[in-house]
Amino acid sequence: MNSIVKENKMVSPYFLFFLIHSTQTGIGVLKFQAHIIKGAKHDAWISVLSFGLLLHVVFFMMLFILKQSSNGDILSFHKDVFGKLLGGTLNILLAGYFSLFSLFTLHNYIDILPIWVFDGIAPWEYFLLLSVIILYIVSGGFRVVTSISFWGVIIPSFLLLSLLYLLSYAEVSYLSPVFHYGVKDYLISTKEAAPIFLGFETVLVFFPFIKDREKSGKWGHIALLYTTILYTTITLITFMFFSQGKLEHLTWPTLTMIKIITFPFLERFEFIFIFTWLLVVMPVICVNLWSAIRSIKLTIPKTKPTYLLVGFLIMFFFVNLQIDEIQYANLFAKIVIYCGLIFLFGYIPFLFLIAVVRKKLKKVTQTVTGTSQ
Amino acid sequence: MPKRRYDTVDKTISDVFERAKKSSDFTTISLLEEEHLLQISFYKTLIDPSILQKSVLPFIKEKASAIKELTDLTEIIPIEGITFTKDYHEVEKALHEGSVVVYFKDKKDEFALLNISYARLGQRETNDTQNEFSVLGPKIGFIEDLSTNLHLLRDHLGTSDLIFEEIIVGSRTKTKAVIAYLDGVTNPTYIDTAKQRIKELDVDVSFDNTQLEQLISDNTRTPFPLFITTERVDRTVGSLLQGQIVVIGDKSSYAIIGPVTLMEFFSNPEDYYLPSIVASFFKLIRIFGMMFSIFASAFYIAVFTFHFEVVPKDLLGPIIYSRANVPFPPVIEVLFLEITIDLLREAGARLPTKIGQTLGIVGGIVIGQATVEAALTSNILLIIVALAALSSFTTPIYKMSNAVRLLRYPFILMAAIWGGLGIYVGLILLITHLSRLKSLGAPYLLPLFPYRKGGVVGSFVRPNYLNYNKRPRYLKPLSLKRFFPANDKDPDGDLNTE
Repeated sequence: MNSIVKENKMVSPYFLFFLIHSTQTGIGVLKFQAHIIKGAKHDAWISVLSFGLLLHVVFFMMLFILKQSSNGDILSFHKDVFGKLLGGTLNILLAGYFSLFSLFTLHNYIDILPIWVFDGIAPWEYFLLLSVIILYIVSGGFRVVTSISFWGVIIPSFLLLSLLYLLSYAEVSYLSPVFHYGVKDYLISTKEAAPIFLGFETVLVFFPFIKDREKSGKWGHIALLYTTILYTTITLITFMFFSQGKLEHLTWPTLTMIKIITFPFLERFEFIFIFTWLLVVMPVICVNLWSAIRSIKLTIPKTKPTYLLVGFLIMFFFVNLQIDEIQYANLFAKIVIYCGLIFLFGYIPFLFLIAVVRKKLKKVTQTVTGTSQ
Repeated sequence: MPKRRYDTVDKTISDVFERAKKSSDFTTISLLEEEHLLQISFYKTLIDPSILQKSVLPFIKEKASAIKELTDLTEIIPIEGITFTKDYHEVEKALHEGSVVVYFKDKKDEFALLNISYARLGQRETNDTQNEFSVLGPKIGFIEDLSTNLHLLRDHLGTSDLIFEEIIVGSRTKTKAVIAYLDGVTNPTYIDTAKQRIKELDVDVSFDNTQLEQLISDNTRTPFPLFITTERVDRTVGSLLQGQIVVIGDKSSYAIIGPVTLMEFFSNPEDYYLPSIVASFFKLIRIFGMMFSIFASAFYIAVFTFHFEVVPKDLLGPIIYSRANVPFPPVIEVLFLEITIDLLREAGARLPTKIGQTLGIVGGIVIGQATVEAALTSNILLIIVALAALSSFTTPIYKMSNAVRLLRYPFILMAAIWGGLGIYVGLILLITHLSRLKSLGAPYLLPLFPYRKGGVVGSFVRPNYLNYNKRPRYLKPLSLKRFFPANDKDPDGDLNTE
């Protein structure tokens, strides 16, 4: 089994920025504002900011775990620590989580299309169309997945200009008074804000593909910081744009905001926005799916990645048909988000502790053997 | 190695001559002497008869008795480069290159080869650029003759760093191809890759470099050209100076340049003869033209099939007015016009020049006007399609403008079925495809993806001569500076460290 990554398949360290940032920005950005106001109302942007900063700690733990593993990814770490059987099971569970996240993003994007853009095309038709791109990208290997996450950051960045347009409608007084709520309220908001930051866990799988790993950690931190700043800015602008009462009743506040933009040659800018958003969600779907496939490929020997990919897409197709009902969709979202939260704030610290202990033990055994010689 | 027909048929030299005699242009002259019967064989269609008459035959006849050995010919005949061989393969090859073969009839194991080929016969005299025009700058182009092309290159780039390496292509015709590069500048990996690909290639006849380019390209399942094929000498010399390799083929008026990036297809040698601000504007116009040409008609279909909401109120009036009488859905309308334009283009390319121009103009105007009056298409669409066709011709390299023209059909179909989403899906497929492409092993989207320092701005605009002395880093040249002006900030930083 070939688990060591060849030099020619690796990508430059700065791509870590694009990979991490693009896997974080997904469909959640279009609607998170309506959820986060549940606790701290207009102060919820503080929760977004603090949660984003908290992620640096998690990322630091991740890098530490990866450093301790034999091949530089979580898959080999699992096997090192838990043995082949249990470690393999954990890898498959991980693959399950990544594929769920991938499907979750895909499903949510397809969900938006009939509501905002055009009715009359069945969801499964969209699904088939999008799975063609997914197939083409993921089958191209990690370099192609990286390319889409690169362009998925570069091309949609023109949408950031629309925030400038919105600034002229902003009402700063909506934000005061600051620090108005109790700690519990902020925590509720933080929990609601968490889903938009999820997705970068895939770094645990693709990290061996980054060249010059020792120095590339900084690009990851820059990416996390950029995402946090971006989200905080969007939150602030939304809170200045809508009153709290109005915001409660919106499902997609970002899109509603964008609707106000018109040009002399173009009305309904949100059409362009939603279509361009395909470039934003594509990296999330593809990187997660790629990670899921790699997890399985390295765990079960002699599996063909192409068959796995096709198998995943067929599975996605049928599951996507089933979760059409709103209650299933909500349940699905809850499962994915709780899995993500438990993974980031329960499992990663747990692995971190193991890694620390292992490092200590190694030092002890090294010194013991050193003195005995 | 499996035997091939053209290797095995001839067992002896007599077989070679026997088979050649079947052709009426194969001639053998016998010079009767006392002891030996000296024979001279050649294809009279390939040699220069005046040289034979003036410089070969008289001397042999005059001193015929002095010829005891074939090697004596070097002293008798005033022609340089007489070679002697015993290998009948070489004899056969030399015959086809326009040599005469001299030998003794009773001693057919050694041959003297005199190259007196009439190389210029049938070559065109003018070497103006035929398809890549420019207003300013030299208009010298390559022609279908290897030695002329090499002369042009050597003449323009008089340095001993310029290396020509000859490789044989085509196992039947054995066409010559020459790889040219600047020693100490071009990255050896590219040279080796190109050499290896051409050597490993097996094809019977190499008609033209535009064909060779496809045979050695990294990916043949793509509409995009992965090498630049150009007939302009100045462009070729510029590429050599940048650190690219050039392949010149015999019988071909096009040079292959590689490795290339997508953005290079939109630059033109003329850019360097204009002020950089003006040239940069023109280059941006060309890039815009490429995008407009791909997306314009697809955008029209998407908007008028699915998203008429995006049309502003004031614009809606003229559009309704123009489309009111059109009986077809937008996609039929667009396909009708696009195919008309492509028919005109194809007809214009095939017809003799003078008729072609007239027919193109008359056909374009008459057909366009008539279709609008017959309400087959709206006149707004006619404007869009005509502009899109026009802008696809702004791409300087013919092969690239063909790719651009082809690409709009998939986008039209995608837009007709899925609207704006289809266009974006197509865009993602296109970007992914481009990211996968490589030219001689170098990524096609360089320096944008993977990002390389100091190349991004230069690929959209024409660099100013103030910071012109650096070669593009993404080509990994062995030496980074082209020259060292007095105001050079970093005269020592010559080596490419990346």
